[in-house]
Amino acid sequence: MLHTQHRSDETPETVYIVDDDEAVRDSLQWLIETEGYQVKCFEDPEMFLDQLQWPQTCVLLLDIRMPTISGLEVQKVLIDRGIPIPTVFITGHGDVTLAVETMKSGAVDFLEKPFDESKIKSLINQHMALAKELAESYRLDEHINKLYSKLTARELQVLERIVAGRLNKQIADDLNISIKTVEAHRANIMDKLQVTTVADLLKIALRKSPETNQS
Amino acid sequence: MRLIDQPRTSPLVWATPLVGIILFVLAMGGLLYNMYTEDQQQTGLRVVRDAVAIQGDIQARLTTRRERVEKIARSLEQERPDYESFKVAAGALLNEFQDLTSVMVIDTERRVSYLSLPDQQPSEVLHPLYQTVEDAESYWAFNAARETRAAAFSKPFLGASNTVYIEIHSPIVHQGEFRGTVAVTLPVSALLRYSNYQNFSEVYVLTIVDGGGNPIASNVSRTVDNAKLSEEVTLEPPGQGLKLRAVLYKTSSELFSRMLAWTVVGLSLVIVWSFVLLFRHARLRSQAEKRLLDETKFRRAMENSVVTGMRAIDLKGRITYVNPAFCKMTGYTEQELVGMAPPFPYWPDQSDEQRKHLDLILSGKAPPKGIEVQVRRRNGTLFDARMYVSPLVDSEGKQSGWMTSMTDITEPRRVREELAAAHRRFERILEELDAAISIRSPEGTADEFIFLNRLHREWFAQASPPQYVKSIRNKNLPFLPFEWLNQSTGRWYEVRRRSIPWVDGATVIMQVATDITTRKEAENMTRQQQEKLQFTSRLITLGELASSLAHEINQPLTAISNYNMGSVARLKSGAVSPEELLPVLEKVNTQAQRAGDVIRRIREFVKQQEPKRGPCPISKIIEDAVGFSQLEAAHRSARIERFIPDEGLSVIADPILIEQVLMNLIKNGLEAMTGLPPDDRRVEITVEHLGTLARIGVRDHGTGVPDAIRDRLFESFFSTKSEGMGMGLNICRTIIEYHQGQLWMEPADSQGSVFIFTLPVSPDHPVEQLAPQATENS
Repeated sequence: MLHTQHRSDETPETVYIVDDDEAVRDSLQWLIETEGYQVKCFEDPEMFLDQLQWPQTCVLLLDIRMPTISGLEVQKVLIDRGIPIPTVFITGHGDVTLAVETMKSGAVDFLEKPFDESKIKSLINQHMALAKELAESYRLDEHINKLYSKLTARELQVLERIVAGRLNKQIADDLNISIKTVEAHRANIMDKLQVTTVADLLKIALRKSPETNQS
Repeated sequence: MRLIDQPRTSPLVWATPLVGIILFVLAMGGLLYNMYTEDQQQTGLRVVRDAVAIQGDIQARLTTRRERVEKIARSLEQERPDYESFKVAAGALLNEFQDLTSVMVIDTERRVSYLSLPDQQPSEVLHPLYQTVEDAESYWAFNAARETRAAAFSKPFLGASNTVYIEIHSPIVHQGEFRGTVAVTLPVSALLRYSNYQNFSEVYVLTIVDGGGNPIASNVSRTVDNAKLSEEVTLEPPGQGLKLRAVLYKTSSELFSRMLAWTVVGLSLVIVWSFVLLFRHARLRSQAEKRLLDETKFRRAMENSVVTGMRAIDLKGRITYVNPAFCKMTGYTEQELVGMAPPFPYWPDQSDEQRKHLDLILSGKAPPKGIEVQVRRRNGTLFDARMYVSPLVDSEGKQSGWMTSMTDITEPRRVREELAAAHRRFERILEELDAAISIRSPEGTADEFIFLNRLHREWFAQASPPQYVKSIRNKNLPFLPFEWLNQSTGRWYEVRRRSIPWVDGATVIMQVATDITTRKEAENMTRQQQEKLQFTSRLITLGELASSLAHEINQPLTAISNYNMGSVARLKSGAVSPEELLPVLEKVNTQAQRAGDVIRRIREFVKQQEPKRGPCPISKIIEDAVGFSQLEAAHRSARIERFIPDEGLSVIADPILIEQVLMNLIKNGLEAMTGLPPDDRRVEITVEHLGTLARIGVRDHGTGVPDAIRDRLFESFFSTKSEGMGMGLNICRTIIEYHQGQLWMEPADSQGSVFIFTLPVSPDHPVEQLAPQATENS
């Protein structure tokens, strides 16, 4: 049910290329477009960071050596912003220390110039699959948050106790309200969260709860 | 021992015996004189008496002779003189008186009518028979007898035989008528000879002298020299002025008195001599006494001035003597202590120990360095003393006791202990100092130390800093601080030396070493980093060149590859039009062009980086390279030695590049010797001049290069080192070949390897221009 809802605003799968070398950028676009992905090229990493829309299903090909900002710095900015975009680093010669660094900082892979065709394609496909999951998960969270924001404070209290597994009577005693009122709140909650069964309610609530706890 | 002052010796002491002696001598002299005068008087009296006696005797004899003559004369006064009887009478007379020499009868005519001579002895016949008496004296006596009618004595007269005679004439008167005379002749000398006082002649010289004093006869023929006394008396009977002189020449009493006198004189002399001896002896004795007194005074002064307490004990331990210092030390007086037997009052309570000490002393086994004892003063306080013992030997050489000398060592001991404490403090401070300190004499060897502190022993047990440092072996500045590396521990020390006067006044060298390893390491690190930076910057050109080359070519290659792969994929799927493909292929071309541009740029870059080759002294290059490598060598405890026979030898080279090569080779050499003992870690650089070539060798003593990898040594990207890029030797060979030289490796003679390269030697004329084809070789 959730998925069907997101299908409507699904964006095409995009490969972002950030490299200061125009020829490398252009040739990579030429190559990757053969796989059917939308390719967007940026010479300037800052411009890329400015224009990046999130969430979307995308993979980033990032050159490590760039004159203004290095690839590692770009990746760091992305992590700071909480954008878990799968990244493949492009490097001139395989520098072991650099590779270790990139792995530590959360990058998923790196790619050595000149590229091996099959390797680059499999890497992009692999990462795109990951990107899809990430993007969907992000969208779902966002949707739930939107539904949650409609709940009143009292409804949140009631929902908390429902998730905790307490009975209506117990909730009424806890909150010093009548059972009827609890039942009314419960109906409102189900309505507001667009669920029909308690199981769905719990699914949403459990996904939300860590974030609730965090906030 | 108390001593009385010397008695005052007044002059009277000596005057009295002297006066006595003088008086004695005077008295003796007086006595002698008195005796002598008395004796003289006595003798004089005796002489007079004897003279008178002799006179009387002589007179008596003369009278007797006269009377006998008269008797004979009277017997002839007869008418008829009986001359026969006269002869008898005359003979009897001559017999009786043998001193008569003749009896005569002289008639009135003065003729000798009868003559009688003695029978026995012939004598001079003065008047022969029947001759007239003519002698004046006889005539005078004849006349006198005739006139006076009495017997008369003639004066003495000299006979023919030089004998003096007198004659006695007695007249013969008959009836009043003178008939002649009876005469006898008598030698005067006979008067004396036949004297009754024969014994007188032994004492006296009897002389008969006439009225004029001339001697007529004497009883002794000798002359008397030592006549003492003489007396003259008149011989009365003849009455002709004859005198008897008696001279005393010998007296028995004189001998006696003389002996007495001599005895007295002798005794006096003996007395005087004994007095002189006595005086001398007394004087010697007085001098000895004076010396003794001086000595005693000196000793007493000494005794009073010494601070050492002296005590003498006899063999049983009884005190026989103490000196003032001993009394002062103990507080007891001499009177109290002398004669005291042990236990002594100055012993402290623990008498057993004291007893032991005393027994030790009495047994003669006291140690020569003394005994340490405690002594209690009279006021109860205690002090420490050291006692020395020596045997006391009397004047007969027999041991009479023990002399102990006692010194108060409280103060010295306190001073000593304080000194020791100060010394300990001083040592403690030195021991705990955070620096290694040593003291040694300037003459001693490096290992002979007067003092060492703890850190010195800890730090320099294996090896100590050199006594002289080669670089500062300057006589003017022998004590410059220097830094020294202990090879065995790898620690650095800063060593400072100073010449200081030591406690005994001698000049010693003090060395203070501080551990500066940390500082040194920091310094080293900084320097090393700087050097590395420098080294890197020198090499960076080559490294960057390679890196940049790789990147620059990689980019277009990547692009070409990408375009190509994309095109292939599209063509495979058939979803591509030639219109679409065309620009891409053009782009591929562009990228290929770009790659070519890169190559071109590199060539141009290399052209720009063309080494500035020129004549350059090889010694200078080596010196610089060694200078840069010295730190690395010190770090690895190795030495770099140079053997450059010709300092002026010039090669045609870019000094910077050759330095790089040398540094690289030296570094390799140093790294190859890591496993060796420090002394063997040597890198030797040799230079040989072979015609137009200079041959430079860099030799190490390391493990050498295994044959397996020798061939690959100069390949690019070949390295035996984990950090190496594998470019060093390759670049070196390139550089050398660039200089128209060669670089190769040979195993060294004994151990290690030697890297050899050649460089062209600069001809005498200046700078050689680069050959253009040199670029082609790179």
